[in-house]
Amino acid sequence: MTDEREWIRLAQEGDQTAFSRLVGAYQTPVYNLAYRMLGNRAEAEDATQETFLRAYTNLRSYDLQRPFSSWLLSIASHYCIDRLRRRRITWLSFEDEIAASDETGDASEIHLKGEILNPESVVARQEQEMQIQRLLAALSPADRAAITLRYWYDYSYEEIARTLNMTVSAVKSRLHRARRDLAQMIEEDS
Amino acid sequence: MDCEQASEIMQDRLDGLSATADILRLEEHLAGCTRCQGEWRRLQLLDHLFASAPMVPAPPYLRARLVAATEKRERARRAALTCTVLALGCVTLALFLFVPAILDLLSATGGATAVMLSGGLVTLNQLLSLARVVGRTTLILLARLIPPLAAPGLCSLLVALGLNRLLTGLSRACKSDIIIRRIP
Repeated sequence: MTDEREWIRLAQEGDQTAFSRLVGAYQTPVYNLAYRMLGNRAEAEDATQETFLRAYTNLRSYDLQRPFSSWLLSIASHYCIDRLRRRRITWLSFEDEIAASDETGDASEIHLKGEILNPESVVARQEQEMQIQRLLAALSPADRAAITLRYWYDYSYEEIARTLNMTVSAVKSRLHRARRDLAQMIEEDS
Repeated sequence: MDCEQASEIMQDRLDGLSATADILRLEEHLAGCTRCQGEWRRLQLLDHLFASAPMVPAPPYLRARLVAATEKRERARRAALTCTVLALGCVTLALFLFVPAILDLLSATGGATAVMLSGGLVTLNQLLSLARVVGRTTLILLARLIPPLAAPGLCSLLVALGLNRLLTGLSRACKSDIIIRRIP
């Protein structure tokens, strides 16, 4: 953590190497958030790049008292929410997204993180991923962000509220409603 | 406890926020309510599905792409800054060079005297008169100054652009080297 504060301080002074270290440390959390929110790899990469560019541009305004991860994920969340809202105009059906994911191998990349899985487990993991992404795709952009931060980052209501610029009660209400809807969808699926 | 309260406690329980007393009350309610039993089972299924999904790792090439994009942004920022400084310098230089010439021409054409003697710009006629003088002065300036200044001005601009390109290129070469050495 001390190293991280030092990297941030150096990056604020224009040190590119320090910023590169921050990129290395946070690329997966940002990429995962973007992937969970946008549902495909290419867009997630673009969103990750945009997030780090925005972070780089605004680094001098970053308050060292606030967790860096929270600040970065806040930028990523807002960018993804905006992107999803814009996407409604040229909306892509989920089937198209899945087809595109299959072509680019999105689902198969999930098991690469040091795990050795047998073929059955790989198929099961891919199906689980597809189910998760289909469920997330049914949520509004803000609900999707709240659910993602709750489950993949273990954020509390307060942390989600700070990250998404919402009140704690709004976060709680969004999470509860989203979970009820998703649970209903699971029931209908089965 | 009614079903709505039970639903709230189920959600809190998933987030690890419910008190022991509430959990006991929920269990009591669930024992006699099939509707809530179904909801609780579905919520647990969902919770398990999401909680067991791993974080999707960033592809291995992404870091190099992110660093390169940041470097590019930094170069663009510095280039914009250089251009702004150059432009400001040119404007300042031009003012230093041309203001005396403009004042000379104003007095040569009688414009300055007319303005001074009239005691200030008060009436529309005076404004129109000044506009005419300025217009005439501009035309004279263009006719007299542009031909002799065109060649040196163009040369200066080319030299400035060349220097800017050379410096940016050198800076890019140094930074590319840094990026290659930085990323294993």
